[in-house]
Amino acid sequence: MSYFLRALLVACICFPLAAVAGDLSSDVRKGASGPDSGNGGYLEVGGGLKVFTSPLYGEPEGNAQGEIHTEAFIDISARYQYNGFFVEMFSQSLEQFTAGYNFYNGSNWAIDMIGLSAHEEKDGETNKDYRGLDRRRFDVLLGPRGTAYLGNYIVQVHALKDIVSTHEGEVYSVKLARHWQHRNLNFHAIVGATYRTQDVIDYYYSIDAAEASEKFPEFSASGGMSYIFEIGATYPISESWVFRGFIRHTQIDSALTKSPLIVDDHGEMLATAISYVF
Amino acid sequence: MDSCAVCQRPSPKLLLFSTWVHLLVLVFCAQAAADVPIAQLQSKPNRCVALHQGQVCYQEVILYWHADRTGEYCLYQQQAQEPLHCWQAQASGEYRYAFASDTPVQMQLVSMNDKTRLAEAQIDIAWVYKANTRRKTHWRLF
Repeated sequence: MSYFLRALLVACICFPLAAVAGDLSSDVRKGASGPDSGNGGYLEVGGGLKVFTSPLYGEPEGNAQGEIHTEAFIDISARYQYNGFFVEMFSQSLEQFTAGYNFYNGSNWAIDMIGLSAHEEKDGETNKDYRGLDRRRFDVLLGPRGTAYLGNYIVQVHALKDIVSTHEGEVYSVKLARHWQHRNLNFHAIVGATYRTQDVIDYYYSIDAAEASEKFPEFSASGGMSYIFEIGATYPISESWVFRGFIRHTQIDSALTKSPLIVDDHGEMLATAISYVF
Repeated sequence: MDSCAVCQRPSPKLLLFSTWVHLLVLVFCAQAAADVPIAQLQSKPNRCVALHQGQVCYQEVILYWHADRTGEYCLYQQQAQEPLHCWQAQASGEYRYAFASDTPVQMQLVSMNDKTRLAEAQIDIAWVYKANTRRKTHWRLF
């Protein structure tokens, strides 16, 4: 079955009824109960601190299993939409930057065609950890995104395919988010599963015979799943300032840990930020 | 020319000042005649901030009141039948109130001698994210 037939099938199964949706991570923090269908946008800018462990070799440079990293970051949450076309970014999101077009929407659900980059470049020139390896380019994925708002729950699915011939693989994901209020604190939780086809994982995490070395032994990867679990809280400090914090656990397929480019089968992140809402 | 200062016509400013003084005296006399205390009611803070529109907002507020004489006073939430708190033979007081509402609430200080509403204070609600869950601004990128 071709990619687009599968994408259409996923969209139809998940959204049999018929709104312009947004990034799930951003929406659930705002306590969204429906899609945003008008022209306009919003902008939030702030600063934050994150403490994390990474399962990926070289991300960040010099990363080792279980090593704890601390980084300051600029917290940006922004979205602009005009006649269905939109761009959105949220530094605490699972997708970060997305551009797209809303082509079908109902009262509490929407289907968009989106484009985003899900995998960063791995290049020995910019990261010495990758020296001796072939360059792995970043990808650009395109495909439908369906979002449904069901009371305090938000469900979002992606069916994306690489369109710049980086790896020509596909990425499918489903995420379920819930938000609830305790006094003026707004809590959220997200669980999600992502399937990457062999083309994607093979491109980024396999070591072929030509580039294999003592440091990077040959490894061949197959398609695999990864999972995320996240809980967090958002608090309105004032009408223009919000505090956000979350803890995220990422679990990757244990078979992948045999790749020299994977150092662990899980990673955690704790982040807090204060942002100004324009 | 006669330079009698007393005979000079009063200036417009003096006339205006005189009128104000008379009005104040009249108001004072009327108030005294009605024997209604003068009171003030204040809420600190007077605004509650919730994340998005429609949410119930929670805020601990302290309501301060002060009257110009001792008496029996009660604090009411607007349209409530029962008072939140009453004071006997007091000229001032404070009340810690657990505000929880999705709409602004008006508080009232009532003199129990004649059931007169003496003072009001409103607790407003503000949201970070306005209607439709997302803040719409008017800036344009293109």
